[in-house]
Amino acid sequence: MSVRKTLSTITTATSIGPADLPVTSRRRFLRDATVVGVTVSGASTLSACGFFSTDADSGDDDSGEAEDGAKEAPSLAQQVEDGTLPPLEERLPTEPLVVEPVEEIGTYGGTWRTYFGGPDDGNAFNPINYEGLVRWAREYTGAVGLDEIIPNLATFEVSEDGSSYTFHLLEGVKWSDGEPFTADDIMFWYEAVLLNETVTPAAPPWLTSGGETVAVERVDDYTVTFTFATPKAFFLHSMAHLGEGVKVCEYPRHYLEQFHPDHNDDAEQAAADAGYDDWVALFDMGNPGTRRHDTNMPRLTPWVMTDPPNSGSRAVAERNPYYWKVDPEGKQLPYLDEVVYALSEDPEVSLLRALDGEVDLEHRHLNQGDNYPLVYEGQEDGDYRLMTYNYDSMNIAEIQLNLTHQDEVKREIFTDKDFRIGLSHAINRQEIIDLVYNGQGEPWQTSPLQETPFYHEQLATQYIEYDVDLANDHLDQAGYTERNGDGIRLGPDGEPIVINLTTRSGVFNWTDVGELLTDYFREVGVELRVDPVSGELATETRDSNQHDAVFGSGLGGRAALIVPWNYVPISPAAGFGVGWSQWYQGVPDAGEPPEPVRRQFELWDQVVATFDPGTQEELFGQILDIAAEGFYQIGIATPRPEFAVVKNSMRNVPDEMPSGSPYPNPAPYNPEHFFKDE
Amino acid sequence: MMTQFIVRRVLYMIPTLIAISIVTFLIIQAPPGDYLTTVVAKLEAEGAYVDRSQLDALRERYGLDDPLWSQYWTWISGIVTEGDFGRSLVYDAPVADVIQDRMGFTILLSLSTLAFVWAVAIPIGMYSAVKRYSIGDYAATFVGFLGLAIPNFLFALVLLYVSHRYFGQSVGGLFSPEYEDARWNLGKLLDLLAHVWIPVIIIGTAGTAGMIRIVRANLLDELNRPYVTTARAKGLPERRLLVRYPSRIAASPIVSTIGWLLPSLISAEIIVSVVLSLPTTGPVMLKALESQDMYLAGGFLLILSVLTVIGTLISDILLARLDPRIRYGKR
Repeated sequence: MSVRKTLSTITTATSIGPADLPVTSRRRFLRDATVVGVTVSGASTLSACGFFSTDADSGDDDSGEAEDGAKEAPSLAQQVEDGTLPPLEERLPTEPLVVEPVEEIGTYGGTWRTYFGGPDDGNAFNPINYEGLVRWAREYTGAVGLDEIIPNLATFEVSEDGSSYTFHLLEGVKWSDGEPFTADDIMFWYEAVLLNETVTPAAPPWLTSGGETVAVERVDDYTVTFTFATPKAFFLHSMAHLGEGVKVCEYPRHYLEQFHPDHNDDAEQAAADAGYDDWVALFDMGNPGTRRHDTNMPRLTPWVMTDPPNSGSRAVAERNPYYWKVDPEGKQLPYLDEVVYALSEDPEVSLLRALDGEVDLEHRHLNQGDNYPLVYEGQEDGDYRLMTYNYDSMNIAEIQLNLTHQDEVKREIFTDKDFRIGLSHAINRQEIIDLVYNGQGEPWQTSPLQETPFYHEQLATQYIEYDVDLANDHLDQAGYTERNGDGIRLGPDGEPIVINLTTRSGVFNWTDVGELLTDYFREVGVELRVDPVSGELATETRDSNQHDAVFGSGLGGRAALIVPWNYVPISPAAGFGVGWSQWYQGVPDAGEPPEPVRRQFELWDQVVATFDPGTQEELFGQILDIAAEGFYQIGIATPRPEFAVVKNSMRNVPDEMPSGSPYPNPAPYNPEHFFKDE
Repeated sequence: MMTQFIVRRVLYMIPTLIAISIVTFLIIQAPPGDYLTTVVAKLEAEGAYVDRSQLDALRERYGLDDPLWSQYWTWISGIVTEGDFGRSLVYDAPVADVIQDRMGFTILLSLSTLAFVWAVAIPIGMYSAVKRYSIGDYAATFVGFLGLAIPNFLFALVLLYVSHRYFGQSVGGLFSPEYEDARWNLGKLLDLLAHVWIPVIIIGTAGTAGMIRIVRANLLDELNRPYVTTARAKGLPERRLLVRYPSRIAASPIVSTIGWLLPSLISAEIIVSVVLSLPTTGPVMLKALESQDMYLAGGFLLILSVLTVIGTLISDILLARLDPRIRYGKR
């Protein structure tokens, strides 16, 4: 039986026909709205111009009052009136996607104020750039199967074995410059980007299967088919993943053709004239954040960047007049006029801005240190409330001893399971929770979270009691009974056992946790030295396998199959088995992993080649069994939920939602239908 | 004589600059990893990971795997022949544009700070010297040392809090949000003035303290000289005497600091600028170094070094003019 998902099968997006748009009444309201708009702009012109005015002179005077019942923003209605923009029904798809509001139908206008950390802070823009062919359901839980993947720009059909995927694009969707979005745009991405060896030297894993790159075929103007050589387990999940499948919809053919030598013979020269090394540098602007800085680039997102993040001290995205989603009354989204990002290079500045009530919706940089009580108490003064983000992580800090250490002595010590068990029993987890994380969270090893189908009791609770005697027993059993004058145990080479923990400073309160661990480990005769460094340096040290130990952030607490590296070390992000991940990725000279890990890799290869959720679950269960038996890393506690500040005037924002990779919160809750009630 | 001196000094600058450019490049390349490490770290936080073959391909495209000397040659030859500092990987723009974008406010801030320092420190220093061991002198000394002792970033955080708590001002940056992108008018100017005092005071305090001590010490040296006594004996009014003679000589240490002034025009105060989120070049430079954006970081370090060298030259020339006792090199 094949899987077929169309708009009518899901609840958050139902379709309405053109007949549902009350065209005549819309016209009348447009006219009314226009009159109001003109009056208002006239008034503001009088007061705001001239050098000696002390009002902020924004330079544009097209703001207006929205009339009840108007189906589009007043500024757009004005442009239609002026003849610079086609009427609404020509801009919308024949059957626009309908966004079911969290609370109620909204009103037009207002600004979403937030902040960003700098031009390379691409994640800041995730919430407003999440428009792929499919998307995550709002109540995402990380379940296997396709229940939590819903149509967005396209509906889809999957062949029985999961090797062929057909997407039916929503007809009549337009790029932000008014050009239609069709199968040709997808084919442009396929031919000019994916298959072009200069742009994509190697196809990413999510687009390959059985060693072959996916084949994409254009069926008609609004239909494309993706075919893999073998069944592909999580292709649709990848398509809903911001960093992967969303890219497919970020290449407007009509615009990007000019930069591509396959379509424009002068592309090479144009790039050179513009000061770029080669055409690729100009084509994808050299960065993973594809052309984010290009304000001319047409997009499919609710707001499009008008003031890019790589110049000045703020970034602004303004309403996309061709946005293709509406509310249940047929009003075009987004409600909010613009999203304004203020540059905030220091977390303390972000915090003060939030406390001041200058932030409408944001959580980034705030979930650190002891901020929670402060932000909680500031709610009344700052006129904001808190929203809960359930972070998709199963651990605040996993201690990942390097089991593939290049130093033989250290490798011998760390790979001794008794040694790791001893350390685990030495940790006073409740004290860490109380002292560092405000008492939130519970002691936890490294199993997926309890509410998920992958919860594994042994992997969650083994060796978790705080018991110094038991810890010493295990360490003695490991053979390290000799101690030096300071009470530190001696390793097989007669030197005291020292673990250098390389940790990222400034995130997750890891330095504080490290300090506590130092005391606990010293108690049982092991010396831990905490070395807080920048995130980049920590990553580099780990990826080149030069670390003794690092902290892991426990990603994949719910989405265990999408972010699996904490359970099966397929990527160097698994700090306990970097060497094993290298072997799995085919790096020459990488040492062969021990038998259980090889078995895990075999099972994982079967998981990704299976389309049946039941089989996936069963195979992944076996992987977790091996992980539990191997006890490769030591967990501490489940993380506390994150919080976001939400200005009280912001509406349609839920009280709670998932967060963290791969869920680009709050994007799956349709920020385009957030509005301000002022 | 003077010309010869200048020419000789300029010639000395060339090997210095070459050495600086090499050292600069080596320093940027010294830490493990490269720009792609930053990219990997970011992707991982998003729950995505980059395949090894993709990484290798990207390294090749950016030329990150080329030998060091070849990377250096590409970089330096672009600068010397075309004035091309390369492209910033983080900003995705030519290095020169990135730096230029933030030059205006950086220079504004540096000059205002300098004006503040001189306007406050020179009168106070002179007062302290003339009224030595008076209550006023002790007070100025006390405040001065306090300014020196408080770390800038801490002071910045305190002032941020004060302006947030008691003035209800928007925190960080040089403008309130509504004026950020507004066209220039009186309101925007006033808004700028309402914000710019914080960094000026913070950066200025430490400088002021140092400057007060320098002025005081120099002036004290001069005040006991026989020529001062003579002038006083001849009946020259005290104020005129002070300004005309000892102060001029006491000024020479101030002039020699002009050498450091030029580079600081560009770099501003990095830590303070980061804490206050100022649109100056300081945070850009820090970020470039952190994320190993090598051309941007290299460009910054090189420009700073060149400006230091030029600034030193200028202050030497000024000193030579101001004080004929300074000799024009070896004779």
